[in-house]
Amino acid sequence: MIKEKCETESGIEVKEVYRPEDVADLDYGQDLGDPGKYPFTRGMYEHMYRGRTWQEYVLVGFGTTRDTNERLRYLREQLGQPMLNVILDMPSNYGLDSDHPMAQKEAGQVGIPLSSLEDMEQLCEGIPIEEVNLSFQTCPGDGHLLMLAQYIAVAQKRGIDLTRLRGSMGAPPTHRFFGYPSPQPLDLSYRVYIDSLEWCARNKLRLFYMNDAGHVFRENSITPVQEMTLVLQTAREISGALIARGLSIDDFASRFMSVLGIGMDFFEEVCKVRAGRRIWARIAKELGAQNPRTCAFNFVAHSCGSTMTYQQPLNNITRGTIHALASAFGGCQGISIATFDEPLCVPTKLASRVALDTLRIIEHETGIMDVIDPLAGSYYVEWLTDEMEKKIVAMMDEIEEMGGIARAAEKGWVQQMLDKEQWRRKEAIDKGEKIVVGVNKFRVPPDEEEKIELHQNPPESTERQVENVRRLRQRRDNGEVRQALDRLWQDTREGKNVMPAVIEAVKAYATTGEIWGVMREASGYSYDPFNMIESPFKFGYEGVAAR
Amino acid sequence: MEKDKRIRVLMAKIGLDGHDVGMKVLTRGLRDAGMEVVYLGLHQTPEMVANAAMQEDVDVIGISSHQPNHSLLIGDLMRLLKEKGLDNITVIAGGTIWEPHLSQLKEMGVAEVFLPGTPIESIAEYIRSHVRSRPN
Repeated sequence: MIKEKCETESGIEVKEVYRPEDVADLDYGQDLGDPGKYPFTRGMYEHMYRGRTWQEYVLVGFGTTRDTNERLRYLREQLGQPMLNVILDMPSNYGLDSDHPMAQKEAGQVGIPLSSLEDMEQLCEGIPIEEVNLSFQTCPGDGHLLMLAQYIAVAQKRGIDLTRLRGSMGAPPTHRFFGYPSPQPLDLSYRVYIDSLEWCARNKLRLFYMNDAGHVFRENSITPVQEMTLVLQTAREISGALIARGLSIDDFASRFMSVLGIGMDFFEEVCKVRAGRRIWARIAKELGAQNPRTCAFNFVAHSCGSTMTYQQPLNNITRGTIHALASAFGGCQGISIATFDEPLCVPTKLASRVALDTLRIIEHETGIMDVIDPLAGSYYVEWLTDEMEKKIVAMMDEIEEMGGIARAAEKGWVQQMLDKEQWRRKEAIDKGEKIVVGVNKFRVPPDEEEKIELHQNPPESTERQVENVRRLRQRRDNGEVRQALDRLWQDTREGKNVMPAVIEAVKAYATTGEIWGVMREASGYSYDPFNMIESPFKFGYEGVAAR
Repeated sequence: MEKDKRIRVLMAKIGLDGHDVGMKVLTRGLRDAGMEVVYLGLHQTPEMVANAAMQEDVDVIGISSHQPNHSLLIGDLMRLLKEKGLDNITVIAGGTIWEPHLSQLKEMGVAEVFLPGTPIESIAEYIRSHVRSRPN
């Protein structure tokens, strides 16, 4: 029996075979260009992986920052891993301290707590941060501000030239609509995010200070087409906000990057990355880019944890390998694959090593990285790249017409899209229309299923972390804290860029929750987004709105 | 008369975690299966869940969990329900819950734990058979 209808994950119907007429309009110079040349479809650099191999990351973050520091040093010193990738815990993602009533059982459970500079100092202890590439994963922008300020404070205290820092920072506030319903107000969150990027651009930082994280969208059942649409639209909106601050796009856009989510539809993932680079190149030009580097978007891959299965977890090694191959063929600059224990726990040492070795096998044993963009010219790949480009551009225009992502979310457009995709995916699996090996087919009896070692957080790490923050408040110079927070309150109220005052407050060991609380009060919100704690500083606020 | 009464389910997640896809599709699925679902959603405390369960007079509480501290957060809820005399409510849990935690949760009084990939129909069927047979 011949299968009649086949669709990609984004719902693009595909033919059985593609022929020259399907790509008759393809113009090499205009649509592809050589690697490292406009419109960068074939890759952002002339020599791609021959010049510099992709950056291999494994994701870490658990317990106190001291616990995670140990793992980072194991990865760096024992496994020779120069790229470190750290994820924040939920309280820190939302600008809350570890001892907040909502946080006391979650601090350091999945990700690291960053309640104060002390946490960041412990995280970086014994790591020469000017020599490593340290990436931080946080969403949706609220964690970004303090994490960036703390990292900068550590560098300044060590006397490191800030332009030597490498790595990446957090995702924009509008990512909150996709599984990160921040308790911080969007207007404040957006303003301070833009403040931080402006500060980085004016200080000529070389960090990737905006990670326009596509995987956040993907993990909410969003399709590859929708993901790239949201990534590029976000980048366009953030660019607009920075240009409105008097910067030129050449001042900052080369410091944008996006960690994309790479799923199981192999060819669609490859084409998504190629199409994404091509579309951005054109947008950057429209926004006034003079420097070619501004037109080359830096895409990094993270394999979708949501494609990994709880059942028969060793199969996830195969899935991760397929994600990595799609990322290589798409020309991603860096990659972290989800570890095989991803659906179960924070990665164990073994799972991290297998993930890292998978990337090394591809890099060193297969020859895949010797030839740039090897799928270019394939009738199917070029057709699908074009098709995706058309759909992405059309959806970006649709969002633009609604007034941007935040407005689209307000109108319910985002929620509708999420509801539809999430239901479609679940229904297809429940009905058996979409087979997931080990979940709805090919399932082994429970007693035959592999038992894997699970990560255990160090005993009582959450309690220890909560205690650390409480003790810090007593130990620090509270006069200095008050002075720094006075300035922060003033600057926030006067509409100044908050970054200098935030860095100063961080250096005085003001906590994440305190800094957010003061900025909230200065903007007319209550001190605590959950209204569970009173302001210890009593700046007062004129507004009434909480959350 | 009693048999015409629709089953009422409360759906919530305790704590700050944002993995809400499972809870959302299950809400829709149970509504399609004829139940009334009160969707409390994300960022709840055990107190908020227990209070809502009382006010909404629900038969079932569904707790979604994707953090390794399930037993801590769900344990607090179970204690509160008992204190408020609400331990006749069937509590079910779902999410990426490890096998060693399954028995812990059941000891605390969680009626059933549904792991990732469970078809919605099986959960609906479980609720129907357990809530109906429960003495009022």
